[in-house]
Amino acid sequence: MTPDAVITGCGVAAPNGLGREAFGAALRSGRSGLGDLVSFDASDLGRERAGEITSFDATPWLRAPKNYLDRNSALAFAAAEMAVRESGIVWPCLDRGHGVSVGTMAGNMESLSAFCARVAEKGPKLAPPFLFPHAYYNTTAGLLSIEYGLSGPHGQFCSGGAAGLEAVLFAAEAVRRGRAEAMLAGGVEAFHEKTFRLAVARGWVSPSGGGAESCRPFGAGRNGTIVGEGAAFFVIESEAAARARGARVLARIAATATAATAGEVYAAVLRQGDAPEAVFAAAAGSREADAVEGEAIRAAVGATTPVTAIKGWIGETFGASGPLALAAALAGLEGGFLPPCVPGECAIEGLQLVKDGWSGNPNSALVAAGGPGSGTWCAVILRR
Amino acid sequence: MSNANDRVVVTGMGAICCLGQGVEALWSGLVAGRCGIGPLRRLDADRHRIRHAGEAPLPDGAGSGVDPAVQFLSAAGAEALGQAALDGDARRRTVVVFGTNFGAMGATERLMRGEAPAAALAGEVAREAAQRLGLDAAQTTISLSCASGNAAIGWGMDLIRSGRAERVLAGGYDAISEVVWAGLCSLRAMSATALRPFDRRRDGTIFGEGAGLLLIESAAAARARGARPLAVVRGYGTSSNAFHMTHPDAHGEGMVAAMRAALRDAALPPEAVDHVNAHATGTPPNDRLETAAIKAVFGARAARIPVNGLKSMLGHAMGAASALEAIACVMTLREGLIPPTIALTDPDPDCDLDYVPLRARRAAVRVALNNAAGFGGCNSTLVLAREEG
Repeated sequence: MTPDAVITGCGVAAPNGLGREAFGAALRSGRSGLGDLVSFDASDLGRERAGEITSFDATPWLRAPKNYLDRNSALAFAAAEMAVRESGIVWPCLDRGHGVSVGTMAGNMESLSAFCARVAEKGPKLAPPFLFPHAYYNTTAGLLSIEYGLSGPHGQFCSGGAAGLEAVLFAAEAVRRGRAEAMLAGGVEAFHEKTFRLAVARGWVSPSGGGAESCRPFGAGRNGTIVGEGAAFFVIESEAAARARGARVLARIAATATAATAGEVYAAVLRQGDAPEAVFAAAAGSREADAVEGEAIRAAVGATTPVTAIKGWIGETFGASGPLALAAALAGLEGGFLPPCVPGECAIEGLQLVKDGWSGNPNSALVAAGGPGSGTWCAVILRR
Repeated sequence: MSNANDRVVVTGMGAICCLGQGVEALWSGLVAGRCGIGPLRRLDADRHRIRHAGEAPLPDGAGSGVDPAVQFLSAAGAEALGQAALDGDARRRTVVVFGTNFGAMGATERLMRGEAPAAALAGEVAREAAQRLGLDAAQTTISLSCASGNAAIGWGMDLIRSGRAERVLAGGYDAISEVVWAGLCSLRAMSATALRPFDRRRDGTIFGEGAGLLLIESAAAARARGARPLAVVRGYGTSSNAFHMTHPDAHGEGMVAAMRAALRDAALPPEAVDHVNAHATGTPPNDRLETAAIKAVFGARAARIPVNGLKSMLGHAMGAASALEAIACVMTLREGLIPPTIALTDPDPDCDLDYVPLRARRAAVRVALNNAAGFGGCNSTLVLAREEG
């Protein structure tokens, strides 16, 4: 009998709320974090909308002052500290062998982009040594391990939209196999011009193929996504460890799966556990991918299970998207609600999309992540 | 954790590195004690501080405009799948877990210049390489800097043990590019002369590139299709020094933790280990601390365990390093031959283990432990064992 992995802390930085309570309240009332794109001029791309966290400052969440943090790392530090505070766990605790895992699609783009610009401008010999260490994909995981003394299992996933949920899987696996009693795990994606331009070039961003700019998961007339940013982190522990220190358990990780496609991942996660009472889909407004995922959901859980997708409110946050959906599901399980999809007609036949004001009291929720930037899907079933 | 039901075996291997293309080129070079480090040719060397590297040949057959990282993965992947004799659905359904520092940085640099090349991010590289190899199962990318290769093989093993995958093409890669080289030179960790692990005169590492991939599968799946196991992947462990991004911790505790975690995962006592393939970067602190870490794990027996540092020949191939070294471990288990640490003629008094200096040595090895460490203070260790019967 392997130990159960439970969540005892959750932190969120999202375009529509800083902190998981603000985030949950925004989702419950349908408050959008999408707005005018402000961090750079995207008029040459014909795009004006984004889900940026404006005037973000990580300072209140840093235990020690930092000279420099990439925006990616800064968002992660804020969400991580919130999760740690809520869990009540005492870190740093170097000798306990607790670990950390992080997911991100594009990594620390701000630092990498600045480093590349300096190399192009001044030549390789004058490359600034200060920036390069901040530009690795695993910079954020390394910095978090130092901040909290997390010397145990260490993971950094970069598998596009699935990366963050993969990091959660890594942590749950570490706990179940007894490699660590507790893990810090989550996903982060900072908004950056280069990532945005790549997303547009890949055809992910609304309006791809005409119409107005919007993000309408499963919606009629959807034409792509809106790019957002954010981070969500969790403290994940063995149930025994959580009980031993009297921690409040927010939810149990009842089942996990990875697969190549939406169809396979929904089927795989349902083979592991009981059918969930709600689905938090990865859908981000893509014409093709939403249709495929909608079909997968209907095949897996039928037409009566309520389905929601939060990206209509915060945009596509890639490596952070799975953990943010997980945080939304936690809020729903705890508060007895399901966040509505953005209003509009559901274009997928037989899908029970959550409308505004839905008052259920779900005991379990399936959260899926995947889509752009890699060929991996992940799914988790949370149980109260 | 390791019983007959979740035993994971290696049934194919592929490599490309500065010793050439193919596992045969890697292994024959290693046992001959041949150094593959040479002049930096891919870039305009005069623009850079360090002008030698462990540069891998670009394989034949890839079109121009394909990033070297994708080319390395395609070549190593085709070799591993070929040796495993996988075809049809079994091949197509092979899951991919790749580890890397930088993905295809050459393509990322083009993104920075305003282009939108294929496979600009690490996750996209895995997808691109998988498509070229005809694989359409899940593709995962792990980035544990220079500890990526072992970590990817380990996660692949976890996927198989937990029933999420039947077989996985797992390993690591990285490619030299203008920005990668500028960055690595800026860290001031490279030697201007030679990579001399454990030597008194060692003054830095020399980075290289390439790919090393292992086809791993459950023993049951291998048996069912009549595949011959080359070795068993027994366990893995990861850890963090939780100390500093670029300086090692004072006592090598992170490396100790990774080795112990890997042995626990393998359900093996330290006494079972016959050989350690060291991370051995040739930087002054790493080799001293790794020596101390090996002593901490193995006690008095450490002095009798042959330990080698293959980066003396391969250069430090970044994300590919520990995967290439894992392939060397498998060959050592099979051939009973331990490749040497070359360029070690004046041992550091603080480095006083048996490093198999200069010449390969015959020895029966049943269990090998493969160490890796990386930027950010992360560590990964893999335990490989001979397939018995």
